[in-house]
Amino acid sequence: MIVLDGVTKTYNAGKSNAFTALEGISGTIEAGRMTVITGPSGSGKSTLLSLIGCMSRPTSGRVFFEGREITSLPERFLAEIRRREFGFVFQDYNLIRGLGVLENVMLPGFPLGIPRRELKTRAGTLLEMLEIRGLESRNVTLLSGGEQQRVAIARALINDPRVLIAHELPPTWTLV
Amino acid sequence: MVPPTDAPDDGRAKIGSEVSRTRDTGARDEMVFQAADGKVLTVPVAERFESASALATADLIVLSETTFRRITGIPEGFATDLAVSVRNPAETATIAEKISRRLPDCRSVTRTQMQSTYETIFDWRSGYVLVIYSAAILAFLIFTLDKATGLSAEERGEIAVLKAVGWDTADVLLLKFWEGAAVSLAAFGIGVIGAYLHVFQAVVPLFAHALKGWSVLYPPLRLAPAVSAYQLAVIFAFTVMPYTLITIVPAWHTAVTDPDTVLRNG
Repeated sequence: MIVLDGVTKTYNAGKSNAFTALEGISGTIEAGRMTVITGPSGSGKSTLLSLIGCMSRPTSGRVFFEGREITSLPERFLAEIRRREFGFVFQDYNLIRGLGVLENVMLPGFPLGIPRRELKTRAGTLLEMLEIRGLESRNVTLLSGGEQQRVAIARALINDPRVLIAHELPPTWTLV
Repeated sequence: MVPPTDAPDDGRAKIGSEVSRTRDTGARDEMVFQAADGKVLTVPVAERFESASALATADLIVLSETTFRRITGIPEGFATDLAVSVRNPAETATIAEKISRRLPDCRSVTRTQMQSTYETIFDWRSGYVLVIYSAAILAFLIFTLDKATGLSAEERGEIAVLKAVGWDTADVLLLKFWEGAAVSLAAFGIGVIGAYLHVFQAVVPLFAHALKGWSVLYPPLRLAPAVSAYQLAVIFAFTVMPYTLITIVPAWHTAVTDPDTVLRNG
């Protein structure tokens, strides 16, 4: 369960170009459920997802994950939470261009210390499930938009996360 | 050249290795000259200078005074060059000036002037090498500085993605360290192998003319392959190590920033 308590996020705080994307947001995201965040462009959806996913810290307010406040945790603990608990599907997929499909999918598994062979097996299963088996060695820049999206989904699932954050709900969602 | 002592016997010659090669004296073992009076004069080769002295003797032909006069037609009492010994070295310049004044057709050259000429020549050669070397160092510094001052938007994005999917700052730095090490080690290896081939296989085509001396006939330059571990260690220490370490700095700067901030700002 994720709890937001009066979360405010201001970019460039203290500067002349300061911009508040979120102000006093509170809410609960229940475990085992799909939560959809909707809103007009510029309403702060991306900022909220980055706060929930421990990719940035609120300017004020608190974020709790499984009852533990994570707002003030050192970066290495946030990285640990992202590594073990979260999977991300970015809006632009953000695949590493110099790598092939398989390496991109396996990326989150490396810091977990999972043996390479097991990671490959996991990745293969996911690629099979997402119907892009056979593209393992292909460079991601050579993939279609839909294929890139599926690779991004496979990458988000490789560490078997408890929370999956999908930025812009993909049309292939039903495949997962 | 007619030395005052240690000259070959009349009618014989001492020759340098390149003279021997270019005149193809090997089989006949003799030199053929057309004398000043138009007659052909054959001079047997008495001795060849050792190849170890090739830098100084490669294009040298040493004859006795008599043979020299027979070939050139210069009569007794005349000479092309005269060596003058001066008892008091402090007087050398004054005496040279007096000779030039008394014999305006002659050019007087003192030992000091000759030394100075040689030094100038070799300073020029070392400067030539230094300029090329400086250009290489400058290119390396610019390349390294470029890497040290920042990453491209794509590189920053990659680091942010790695952080977002759970990589720790230390993991990212380790990756960037190995990337930098791979690039610099590959460059080091290619450079060393290229230099080895350039020196020992191609026989230094870029530098040979600047380094071999100023003989008319250049002696062949055959270098025995040798690798100095000390020189390699110095080059390694001044290229691979700094480049590898410097490339980590901008990566660290990006890795300690929130992934969200990096992805937003590009």
